Order: sequence, then structure tokens, then C-alpha cells
Amino acid sequence: MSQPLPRPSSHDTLALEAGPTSANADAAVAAAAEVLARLARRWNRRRQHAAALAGLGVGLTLAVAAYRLAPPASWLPVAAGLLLPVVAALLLARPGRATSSALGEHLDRRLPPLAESSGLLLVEPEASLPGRPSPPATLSPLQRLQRRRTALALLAMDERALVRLLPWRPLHRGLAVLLAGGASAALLLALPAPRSPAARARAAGAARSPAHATPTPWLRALTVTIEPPAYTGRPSRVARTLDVAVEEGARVRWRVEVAPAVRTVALLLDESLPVPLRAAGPRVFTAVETVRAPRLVRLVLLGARDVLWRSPPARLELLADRAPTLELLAPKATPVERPAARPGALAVTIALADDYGVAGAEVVSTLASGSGEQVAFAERRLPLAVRPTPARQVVYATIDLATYGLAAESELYLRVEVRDRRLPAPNVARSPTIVVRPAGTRQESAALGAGIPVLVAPELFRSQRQILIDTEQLIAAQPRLSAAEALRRSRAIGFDQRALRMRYGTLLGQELEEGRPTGPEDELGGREAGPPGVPGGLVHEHDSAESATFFADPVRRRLRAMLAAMWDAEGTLATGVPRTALPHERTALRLLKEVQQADRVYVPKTAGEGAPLDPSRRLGGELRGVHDLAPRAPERAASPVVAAALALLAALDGGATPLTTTARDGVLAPAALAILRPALAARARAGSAAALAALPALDDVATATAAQRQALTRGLWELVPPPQAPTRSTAPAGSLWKRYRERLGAAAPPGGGG
Amino acid sequence: MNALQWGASPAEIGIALGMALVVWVAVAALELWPRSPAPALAGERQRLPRRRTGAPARLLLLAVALFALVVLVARPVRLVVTGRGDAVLLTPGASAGDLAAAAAAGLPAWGLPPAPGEPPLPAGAPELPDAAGLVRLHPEASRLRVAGFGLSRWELAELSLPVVAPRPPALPFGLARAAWPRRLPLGAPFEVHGQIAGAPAGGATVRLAGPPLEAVAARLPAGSSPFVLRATPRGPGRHLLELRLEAAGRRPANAQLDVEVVAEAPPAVLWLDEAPTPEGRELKRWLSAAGAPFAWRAQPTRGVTRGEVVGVPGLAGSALTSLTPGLLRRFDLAVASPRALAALGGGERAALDTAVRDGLGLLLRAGRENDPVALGVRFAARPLPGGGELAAHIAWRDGESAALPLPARELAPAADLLPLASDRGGRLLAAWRPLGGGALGVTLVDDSWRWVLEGHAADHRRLWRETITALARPAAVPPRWEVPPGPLLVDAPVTATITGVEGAPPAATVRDPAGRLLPLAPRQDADELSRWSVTFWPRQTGWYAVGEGAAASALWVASASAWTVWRLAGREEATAARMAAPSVATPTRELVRRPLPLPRWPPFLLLLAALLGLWIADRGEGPAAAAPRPRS
Repeated sequence: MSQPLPRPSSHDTLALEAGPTSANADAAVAAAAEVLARLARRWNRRRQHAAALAGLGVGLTLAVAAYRLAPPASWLPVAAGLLLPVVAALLLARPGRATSSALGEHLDRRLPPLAESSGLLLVEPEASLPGRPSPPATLSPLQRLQRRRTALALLAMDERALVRLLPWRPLHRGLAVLLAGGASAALLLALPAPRSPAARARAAGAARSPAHATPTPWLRALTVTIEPPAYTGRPSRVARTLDVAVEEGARVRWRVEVAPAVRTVALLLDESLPVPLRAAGPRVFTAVETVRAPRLVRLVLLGARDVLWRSPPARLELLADRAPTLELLAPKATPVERPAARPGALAVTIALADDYGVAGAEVVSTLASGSGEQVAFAERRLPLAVRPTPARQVVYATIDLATYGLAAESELYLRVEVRDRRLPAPNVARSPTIVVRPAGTRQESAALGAGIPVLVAPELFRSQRQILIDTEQLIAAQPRLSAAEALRRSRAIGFDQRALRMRYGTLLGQELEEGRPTGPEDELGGREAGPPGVPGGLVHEHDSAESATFFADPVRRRLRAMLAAMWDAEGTLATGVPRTALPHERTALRLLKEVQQADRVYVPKTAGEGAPLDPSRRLGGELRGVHDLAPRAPERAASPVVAAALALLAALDGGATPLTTTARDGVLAPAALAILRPALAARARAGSAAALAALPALDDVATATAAQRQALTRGLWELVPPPQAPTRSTAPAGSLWKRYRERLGAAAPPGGGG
Repeated sequence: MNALQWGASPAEIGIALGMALVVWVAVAALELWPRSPAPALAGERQRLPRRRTGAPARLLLLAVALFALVVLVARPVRLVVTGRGDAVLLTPGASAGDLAAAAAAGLPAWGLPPAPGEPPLPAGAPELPDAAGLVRLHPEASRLRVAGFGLSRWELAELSLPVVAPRPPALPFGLARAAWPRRLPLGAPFEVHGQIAGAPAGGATVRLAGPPLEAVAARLPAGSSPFVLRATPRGPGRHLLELRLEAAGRRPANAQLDVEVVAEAPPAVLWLDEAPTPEGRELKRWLSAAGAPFAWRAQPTRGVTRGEVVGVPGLAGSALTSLTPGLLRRFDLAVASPRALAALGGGERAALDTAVRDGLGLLLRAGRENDPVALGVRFAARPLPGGGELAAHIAWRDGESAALPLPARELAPAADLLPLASDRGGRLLAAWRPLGGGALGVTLVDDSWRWVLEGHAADHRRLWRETITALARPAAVPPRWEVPPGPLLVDAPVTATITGVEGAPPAATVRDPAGRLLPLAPRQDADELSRWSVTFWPRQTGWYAVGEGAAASALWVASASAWTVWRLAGREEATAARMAAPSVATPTRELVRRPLPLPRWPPFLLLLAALLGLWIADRGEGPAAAAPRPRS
């Protein structure tokens, strides 16, 4: 930056040479010092401006970066990015102490008339102020003279020129930083911004959506407003595409703005159900639908005469309201046994959760009281306090069992039912049933002898086959067991055997006393009683009520033999010799099964009256009046969907060639398309991408592109089920194969095979 | 046996030797002759006489240099014994090493241009226009040594020369072999058999897909391994299926398989039993649902017959009372139990026998019979060791069925028995043999309806589908043009054959994808006069149709660059077949000594070394002579 150097005027030169007075000289020095101070301030201001510019450059870059990276509509990072660097730069560019001396050095370098002496003007500037004592003696007279000269030289110069002489480099640097910052900010703005996953998903959805934005000039705008049910607590939202996922029961409002030529707008649901949109203003149509099932939606714009535009089908997916989940935390095990006299309280703990919150929960109790056939049931419901939040919550309930009527000979069944807030009907979840029964109330059917310390298995599981299995297991394990343990287990099985014997013994009217039968000895041995000379089995004992009424004679005989076998087995088991008991147990089991078979009754399942039998035609081979079943069976009709799909596939011929005229006339009849369209729509609703892609091609098959025809081919093949019928091999044509087969068949004589 | 000879004539060698000798002698004389020192001029430093201490070495080096020159002039050659007319043919896959080996063996080497997609020839190999060009351009070639993957079938057809091919290089990753049916009845499974090559260590996946069928895939181990993929097309029409081979780190190989599925009438099955059985009921349920004709007849007692007909138009159950030839002609397969067969009257038995010899299939459900007999043919069954029950897993070609409890026995294999079903242990459970024009089968697999109840209906369907297809009366089809299995390519000849044409030659036309009709002249087979064939070279990719009307066949012709590995494997096969063919008589090999020039670089290097030595010797002498020597 070269400025013309101001030259001292001739008048000043003369004044210096004439030797100015001391006062004049001091005033000149003071004036020069003031000039220098002003210049220093200007220089500082210039530095601060430069710093502000540089800070602005950096801030621009930061602000744009914050704008691209920060979430939308958050201006704080942008403002901070813009302002903070400016403030920081201004703070850094505060005037330093060395500024005046630096200014002096700068002026010395740029102005030769100052004779490298501007530093003298800066020495104790307060001393040179008017009204102050003369400069101290630190300056030699020569220096003072030089200072005066310098002051005069400085004063002789034009101050504006001096200002221009101040260094411009800080300002230039600031400008350069600003320009660089602006360029980088522009670059950042131009670069594609990294998008959040949600934004990417939105963009992908928009790319997938065939009806995104306005794909046709007929359609000006499309707004789909989704209002989820109030109980879901979800806000309503707006989409610009037809394929949206909505909550079950949500109200979906389609608002369509169209071009003036469009007269009517309709939604085609599932390719078969047209829903006309209502005019809600000039060129604005709306429709509202409550969605309870997934649909396939198309938008159809109709002009005065025909269809102007038809959107590709889009899936209206349903976010189903799932049933609440319920986890029974306590009691851990069921049944719960409580003393009948003081059943106390039962703590029930459940964990609940639902996708939109639980509406209510209650404990349902069913009390079964009485025994035998006189059982009465009573149901009570106890509401539980639940929070209507979707989060998992644990609910505690205390059931006072006595209040609920639990006593001897009664059982209480408890379960928890939870319902959510789904409309119109809530989802209900039920917990497993908790069975509460009085402890120790079950009775053995026969009194067992005391003195055998064994664990009593439930009578339910006691059977002759189980005793046999237990005995076999004991025999297998006997070598590994101690003698005492083997004897204990053998006696336990013997106990079971005894209980079983007594249970069956009651059927024959045996009197039992301490587990021992008290009847006549011959009954135990199974020996038949009868008058001498009359074979057993031919005697009917009229004196025994059981014999005469309950069982037929062979059954009774077998029962007695079975009891005898059980008696033998029991005795052997009690002595700890299970191997000897085994044949007796087997005999008892065989006899028991025979008795069961003898007692079985066959009840045929009949749905109606059969034709009366004609005994005269029985086994005669006469078939007159007997009809085939085939005519009664309905005719197997070929599926019209499959037939239509195959016909269209044959016409498309793999999508390789355009349709022939005959194919157009025959296959593309409205009836055939009307069959195919709902079938493809159903598959598309079920999630088939091929079917969804095929539907647009079905609008105009004749003029469809090759890609559309291929998509249609793929979709149509999904409608065709795999063939089931068997096939025949094909014989090669001509006599050669026939001759070969005949000679091959004649090669092996009959009877020689194998 | 090699011998060293000279390329130059003896006179040339003599002249060169003489000149070298003269030069050497002259130099030796100059070197060794004692010379008087030259008079010293005033002011000049006196030159001392040169000390000739290195003269013998220099002369030796000179001799070496002259010898190298003479050898260079004399052009030594090595005589290599080769067969007269031997040549090396470089085919796709040949390497630069093959070319160098041919040069080393003194054999001429020519290359054949590779087809699109095939590996290129090594650089520097002289290229022939085609295989036939070799015979025209080099008639002296009489025996070819083939390097690379070999020659294709039609290239070998042009060459009648004997061919020797060493071990070919390994095939690259791809589909090396593939065969599939070009025409299928609807319902029959489409099976593609093939082999892959060059699969990496991680293995490869081969996948068959297409719109009309469910995609199937198979995982294959590393290297070269065969595969079978099976899927059933859903509907009739011309289908183009995709066979895709994928492996980690390799470019996937795609191929297109064409198949024409035609809807044909399913076979009619007649079920003969002594009483209605669950087996017959399940078969009826399946066949009636599938739209196939089915009839069953039960004879609970002599003279009492019950029957039902499904899907046979014009036939009522009452018509099944007696088996007549006319009735049996309406069916393609009869399934009978031994008791039902035993209950047949004499007339019925004769009618059944005649029908089977006329083409009807008869399947005997052996039940618990020891040695089931049908129509006088006895099938021997034998109990399995151990007895009890056999949990049979029927072995399919691509897997096995669920277990089916069967009596523990098997059919005794016989020379005239064809297996119909075996379990995975190889025990024969069903078999058949031809009887006249028909087929007579026997099966020990009973109560297969249990599969359906246990949720394995596919096994039931597959067993019976295969049984019915094997035994039912074959469908009579009119003569039709057929091409051998495998891919068809642009610019490769396609030979179509028609069999069963009696009398006048058939009309042979080919319709190309553009719809142009090309008439061809069929040639008659010399051995079988009812067989005719045509050969044509497709020029564009797409569907071709050979023949017209009922004789027409649809073919998909792939582009010339497709199926590269298959083509290379075909070259290998054809070349190996030519080598193994006994028809190509190897002519008596006449051995000749072929001069093979020895490389020139050794004598040239020797010359350079000798000259360098001479120069160094001279340099070593120079400074020593130039340096002022101290006066003594």
C-alpha cells in the first residue's frame, strides 16, 4: 500500500530553522502526540473491524454447519455458531499496550521525514501536555530538539493521509477469512446433508410410495389425516401419500385437491369397493373412513366422461391393538391348599402391560361347594386398582378365602381378567386359574391299615399297571439298593397293591376290617360256590344282592380271581420279594382288563335316521335302488380365478410379446379382469409384493410396458396353485419304441419274474 | 535324440574359421614381435619400450572373441526328433507356457480364436481363422497337439486329424454341465441335473427360480460337484427359468433354462380291492381333488360289487361290476390287492391280462402275501433279518420320505425288475417289470395314508405320483422335433431330430424370434428310416420353433457369450472323446529331425565378455605405460 508521502511545508521548515520557542515546541509535541493517539485509535478500530470480519467468516461456516446438522427449527445452535466467533475475535483484538510504539515504528518506516524519531513523541506523553512542567531532563537537548522537529514534521502532514498510511493488512486478512468462510458456508449448504435414520426412512417411504407428491397434473395435493382413537393417546398426523400405517380404529381423512377438469374423485378400496369423495369446496374432495382392517387403496380421478387418472394401489396398513399381557407372579404354584378351618388370605400378584394402557382388571372367583353330584357354583368379581398406563405394572390383591366361602368340601377357582381400552370391544387376557382347596380333605376310598409309614400317592395315580411298572423298576434296581431300602420300597408297592385290592373289593361287597377282608374264605380264593354236582358258572346265586344285580356271573368270577391275585402279590411284596409278586400282578392286570372289556358299551354316533333295513335283501347282492355316491357329490368346479389367471398368462406369453387381438378380446374381458383384480388385491393385502406390483399393469394390459407385463406375469403366477394330478410318461412316437417294449415285455416268460 | 549341427554351410564355416585364424595370427605376430624403441625427440619425454607382459592373456581373449564370432556366423542348430506334420494348436485356455513349450519342441503353433467369453489366446500366437482353416492353410499338419480346453464338437468335425491333448487346465467357476427336459406334462417335476466347477473353499449355492415355480436351492461343496434341483411348474406355457450359481467372492453365474409345459390328460386309475380301505379312500381323495379320473371297485363277497367313479365321463359305478376289455381300455393303471385279483372271474382275468399286454399298468399291493403273484408272474419277497417292523424312509432322488411302518421284508432283486421305490437302506420295496406292452408292478409299501394323517401328505403324493407315472399306460404322442438336452447358443449348430415319421419326409421349418420362417431339408437316418434330422445355426437370441403343428417344439437360444464354462467343459469332453475314439486311425508316425536353432545369446555374451576383457587389459596397460617411471 503505497501512499504519497506527505512532505513538510516550507513554512514549517522555516519555523524550525528560526528556532521556535519552548512553549510553541511543547504545544507542537503535544499536538503531535494527540495525532499519534488518534492514529492509534484508528488503527485499533481497524484491527477490531478486521477481527470482526474474520470472526464473521468463521461464524458463517459454523452457523451453516449447525443449520445442516441440528434438528430442524432449532435456531440456538445457528445463532451461537454465528455470534460466538465474532465475540471471540473482538475480545482477542483488544488494543494492546504495544500499539502506540508499533504505530511509531510503522510511521518511522513509512515516513522518512520523521527521521526514525517518532518514538521521541511517545516518551512520557503526559509531560508534553499543556500546563505541565517542561519535559524531564531524561531527554537530552538534542533529543528534545529532534522531538520538536519530528512533531512539527508530523503536524505538517495531512492527517487523512496519515490515516491512509495505517496498515491495511489486518483488514485484508479479515476480508479474506470472511470470503473463505462464505465460500465454505455456501459449499456446506450445497452438499447433501447427512440425514437421520428417521428422515432416511421417511425418504425411503416417499420413494416407495407410488402416490407421493403429485404424480399427475390432475392431482394438485393429497393430504391424509390420521386420527388415532383417543384411547391410544397418540396425536393425529398428516401424510402426503396413500400408503400409511394407521392404528386400529383410527379415522382416516383423505383430502384431495384436483385440477378443474376433475369432476369426481373416488377411493377404490381393495380393488373392488369404490368410495366416492365428498366435495368440500372448489376442487377439494374429502372422505373419512374408520379403519378396522388393512386395505388396499387407490385414488381415482374422474373427468366428465372417463377416468382421468388412477393411482397405483397402496397398502393401508393396520397397527393392531394387541391384547394386554398378564403374568401371574404369585402364587407360584397351583393348587393352593389351606386348612379348611382357617384358610386365611391369599396374596395374588400379577404383572400387567398393554400397548395403549390397561382399562381394568378384576379377580374372578368361582366357588364350587358341595360334593358328589350336589356341587353348586358361585362366581364373584373383585375389581383391582390399575393405572391406565401402557407400562408394565404390578398389581397386588389379597383374597380373604373365608369371605369367599372356602370351607371343607369346597374349592375356589381364581383367575385374573384384564381388559384394555380397545373400542368397540376391549381385548381381554386371562391368567391361569388358581385352584384353592382345603387341605387334607381328600379321603381314601378304603380304610388302610395303620402301621405302614409310606408316602401316600394320590389315589388317582394308583393302578394295577402302575404297580406292575413299579415292581419291575424295583426288580431292575434291586442289585444297586441296600436290603433295607429294597424292603421299604417293596412294602410301599405292597401298600399300593393293598389299597387297590380294597378298592376293587368293595365292588364285590367285601367287608373290610383294618384292611383285611372279613368275607368267607372261598370268595377270596375265587372258588365258585354252588350245589355239588352242578358245574360252576351255571349257578345263579339268588342269595347275594350284588351277584344278582350288579355283575354278570363271568365278570364276578374274574373279579374274584383278580382280587385273589392281588392278595398274593400284596403278601409277597410285604415280605420284600418283588420278583415272586410279578406273575400275580400280571394275572391281576389281565383279569382287570378283561372285566373292563366286558363292561364296555358301544354307543354309535348317529346323526339321523338311517334307511330301514330290508332283511330280505341281506347278502343277496341285489343293488337295485342303491345309488352311487358320485352323483350326490358336488361337481368339482375349476377355480375361476385360476382359469382367468392362466388364460391371461397364456395371452401374455411371459411378457415377451405384445398381446394378440384375439387375446385382447377373449382374455381382457371385464369379467375376467373383475375376477383377477380382487384376487390379486387379497394377495397384496396379505403382503405379496408381486401381487401389489401386478395390479397397476392390470389397469391396461393391452398397452402395458414389457416391465409391467413381467410384473403382471409374476403376480398372476402367484394365483395359480401347484398342479396336483399325476402325469403319464410319454411313449416315443413310431414303431421302434413299440417293438422295443413288446420284445422287452416278452423277454421274460410269465412266472419267471423275481 | 538331439544332435548339434550348424546352420551355415561348411564353406561359410571354413571361410569364417580361416579369417579368424588369420586375424589371430597377425595380431599374435604384432604382439609378440620385438620392436626397437623410436628415437626420442628433443624436448620430449623419452618413451620407454612398452612392456608386453599381458600378451598371452590378450591373445587368449582374442581367440575367445574370434571363436564367439565364428559360432555366431556358423549358426548352430539342435536337431529335434518330431513326428512329420506334428503341430500345436492353441485353444482357449492355452497359456504362454504352452506357446513357449511348442517353440522349444520345435513345433509350429497356431491358435484358434476364442468364442465370446472364453479366455483369450496367449500373446504372440499366430491365429487361424477357424479350425477348418488349419487344414487349408497348413496341409502339412497331420497330427495336432492341443493346448488349452480343446476343440468344440463342431470344430472337431472339421478336423479329421488325430488329436493329442495333455491334461486341460482347471475349469473356472461356473456351470460346467446342465441337462433338463425341454417339454413337460403339467404336474411333472422339472428336474435340472448339472455340475458346477471351480467352486471356492466356502462352497457355492445353486438356485433355480422363475415366476411359475417355487424357488429351490442347493448348497454345494468346494470344487466340482454335481447337483439336482427339482421344482414343479404351476401352469402350462413356455417358461424361461433362471439357474443362478453364487459363491462368496465370485461373480454369480446366471443361465436361462427353457421348458414348455403342456397340459395333458392325467392317467385314469382303477382301484380293485376286496373292501373299501383307507388307502384307496386317500387316493380317491387326492385324485378327485386333483381332477384326475379314478374309480374303485370292491367285492366284499362273491357276486356283490360296490364301486364309485370320479372324473370318468360317461362311466357309472354300476359299470364296474365286470372288468371288460372295453372298460379297461378307459384306464391307464389298475391297482389291485391279491385278494381282489384272486376274486376275479376267468373272463375278467383274461381281460386284465390282455389289457396289460396292450399297455395297461397293473400294480399289485402285496399286503401280507409272502410271494405275491399277478397274471402268472411271481414276485419274490423275503423277510428281513430280525423281523419285526421296518420304519421305512423311502429314498427320493433329492432326499427321503418320513418314516412309514411296514412289515420287515423286501423284494428280492431280479434281473428283469426295475426298482420303483427303495428305502434309504437300499431295500427294494416296490418294483416293476414290463409285460407285453404294459407294466406289471408290485409294492410292499402299504398304508401310505398314514403319512397324510401324520402331516406328510407330500410324501404320499410323491410316492403315488412316481408310481403312477412309471406304471401307467404311456401317453401316445405324435412325432415331434426334439433337440438334445443342454443349452442352445447363437452361432452354434442345433440338430433337431424327429422319430416315428413313416413314409414321406416331414416338413422341417424353423421360425426365428423375429417370426421369419426358414425351410430346411431333413436328412434321413441311415439305420432307422423313420428318424429324420435337421441342423441349423441360430443367429439371434430368443424363442425358436422347429417344425409345425403337433410336431413343433419351442427352443430358447441363448446369446453366444452365455454358458462359457459349459462351453469350455464341452471342449474338454469333445477333445477327450476324439482322443478316445477308435475310428480315427492314427497314421504311422514318421519321425523327422527338425533343426531347432540354438539361442544366439550365449555366443554373443561370450563375444561381449571377451571384448570387455580385451578393453580392460588394454586400459590396464595404458596408464602403466603413460606414467613417468622413476629413473634408476
